[in-house]
Amino acid sequence: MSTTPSIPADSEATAERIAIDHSTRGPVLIFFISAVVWLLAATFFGIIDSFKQHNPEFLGHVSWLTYGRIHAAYLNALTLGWGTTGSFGVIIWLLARLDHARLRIRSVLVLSCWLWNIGLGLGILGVLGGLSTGIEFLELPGFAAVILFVSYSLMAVWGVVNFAARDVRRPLFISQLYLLAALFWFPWAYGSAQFLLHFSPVQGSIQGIVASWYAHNFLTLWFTPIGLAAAYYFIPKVTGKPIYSYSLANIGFWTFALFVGWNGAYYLTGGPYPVWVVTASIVAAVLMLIPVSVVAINHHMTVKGSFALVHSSPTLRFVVFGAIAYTVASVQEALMGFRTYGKFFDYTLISVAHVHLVIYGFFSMILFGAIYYIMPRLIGCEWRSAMLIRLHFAASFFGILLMMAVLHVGGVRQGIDLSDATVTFEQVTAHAMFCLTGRTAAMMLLTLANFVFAYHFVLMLLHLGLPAGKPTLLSESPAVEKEAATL
Amino acid sequence: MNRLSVLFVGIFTSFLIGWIAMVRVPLGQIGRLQPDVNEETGDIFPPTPSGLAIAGEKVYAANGCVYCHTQIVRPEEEGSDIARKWGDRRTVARDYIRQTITFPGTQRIGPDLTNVGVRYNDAKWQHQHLYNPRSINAWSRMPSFDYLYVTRKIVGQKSDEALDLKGEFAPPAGYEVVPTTEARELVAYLLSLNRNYPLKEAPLPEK
Repeated sequence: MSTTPSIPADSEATAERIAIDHSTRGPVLIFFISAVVWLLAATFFGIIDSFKQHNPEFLGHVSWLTYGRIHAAYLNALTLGWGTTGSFGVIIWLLARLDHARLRIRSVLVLSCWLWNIGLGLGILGVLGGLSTGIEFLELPGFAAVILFVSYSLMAVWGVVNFAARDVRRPLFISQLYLLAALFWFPWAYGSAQFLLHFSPVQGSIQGIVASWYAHNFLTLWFTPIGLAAAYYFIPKVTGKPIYSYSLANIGFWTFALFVGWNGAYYLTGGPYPVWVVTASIVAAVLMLIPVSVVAINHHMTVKGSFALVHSSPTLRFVVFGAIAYTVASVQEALMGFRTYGKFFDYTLISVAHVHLVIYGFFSMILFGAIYYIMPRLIGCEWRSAMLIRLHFAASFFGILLMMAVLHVGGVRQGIDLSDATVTFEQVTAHAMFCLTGRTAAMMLLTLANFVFAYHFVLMLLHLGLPAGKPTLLSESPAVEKEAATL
Repeated sequence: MNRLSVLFVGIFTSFLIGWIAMVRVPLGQIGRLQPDVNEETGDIFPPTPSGLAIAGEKVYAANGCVYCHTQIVRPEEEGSDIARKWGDRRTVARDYIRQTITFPGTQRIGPDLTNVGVRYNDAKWQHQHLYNPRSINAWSRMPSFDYLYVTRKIVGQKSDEALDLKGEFAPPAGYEVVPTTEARELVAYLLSLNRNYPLKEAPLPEK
């Protein structure tokens, strides 16, 4: 890239950006619609799931509604449905913008989306029908996994084609690194885990390590880079300031890339695995605090001075909440590695709390923020009601807080109870009841949040928003969301 | 090399190292373990489970038992598992070599099942407990797996397999509750869960 012609001037850039946004409209919308449908499905499964934990007889006599199948359906609709189709939408939109290239081969993306939905839908039906593999986060039966893999490959082909067509005069932006890495790491992890556990199963002695490695990395090397890419894009975008330190951002990415694959075995302490695997993983979990604090400092310093915007901009409010949840979840994860902690709290509700903090608190909130930003640019009108967005945020906020509170209180109690062999299992079960009921209350708040969001989203699809031009803000603010010229 | 290929090589190798360390190397280390032959008695451990028990793994997987039950006994210094009598010794990698799918699990909403075949070594008990756990422990929050059973009219003599249900759980007079094939497989699997044998690396403690 020795010859660097001048980059187009500002007004041209704006016109070009609008053209690029417009070119992404079809594929991004179909992925977002899928995401919202899966979100509602996950919410539906999730509330049944939560209710069954304290009322085992509830819908208890039909095979396809049994807890173990509903729970698998819930996990998959939430992660492979809502999280992943939503991610695809964000990836397409962000990469098209950052590549400064209009979207290529759009039909491939639409095909990929349909395949994904069909594969996942059939897979979840299969799980409900009794075909679950019984491996956490890999429950879908083999045929569904194959369809998902084909769909994903189409996505990857698109990613390469679009990247090759990028505007080479521009330097790469940090979000592009995260997105390319995620696009590349996910099929690797998914494919190798599927192969080693399902299609050509390795000996039972080793399955636990592979399964645990995948379950953990599904969250950290798929959702995390996408969440961080979005945060790195939207925080400077909305505040109108460049990233505080670009070299910090690079250090953050490369340390993340180095350590991420080593994680995942930390909660196997005391399990039948080589001690060095567990120890290496514990070290990695602590080392992960380097990229985490780098990202946290960078985001904090970028937002600093613009806190009024966090209050007024829907996108920033959701994204900043997500970024903070990411830091908290990562610190918790480093703690979970320690053996004294594991002795008490492995296998308790605290690990459920952790997974939900990552999926809801961090990733979903950033995804909501991204959708609040992207949709008006695709549809051509603004969100109809600031009140609905405020309600969505408040219900999510208190839902997540309540869920974290009850699951942690319950998990600590459960861990202390279990570690004392004189406490009978009957007593352990009785002590957990209170927090499981509280969890259902939290799920109800999240259900409210998700339905409010879905309703608002449908209004948007029907062009029932406010006229374009002035973004819907949550409070009066002197600074209006603007497109930073630096990006 | 231009910057872009450096980038791709970086993204590739950084992850490759972690993958090799956490997946490939353990696979080489403990991925091909052999059963342990006891030189004095000639016993081979772990014992080979029955075909019915192997079929039961699929039923265990399909119904999501793994979300609430672990199958790991941690050593004494790493938790109360042995004190709770979930096993006489810790579990080691070799314990799992006979299983085609393993279920280490991540949650203990219910008790550990590593040795459930020792604790409740009675098919009748297992069937009744699966049919409705609250018919045995009123406080239990485990789901009923009554859909794995059939309630049918007694024709001639009552079946040997019929569940011994009392009170509110009993079928109407003249009817009996019998297990389906899936229930039989699942119970065979549960009864096969027994790690009460010595291995070189994990001998049974002196009684």
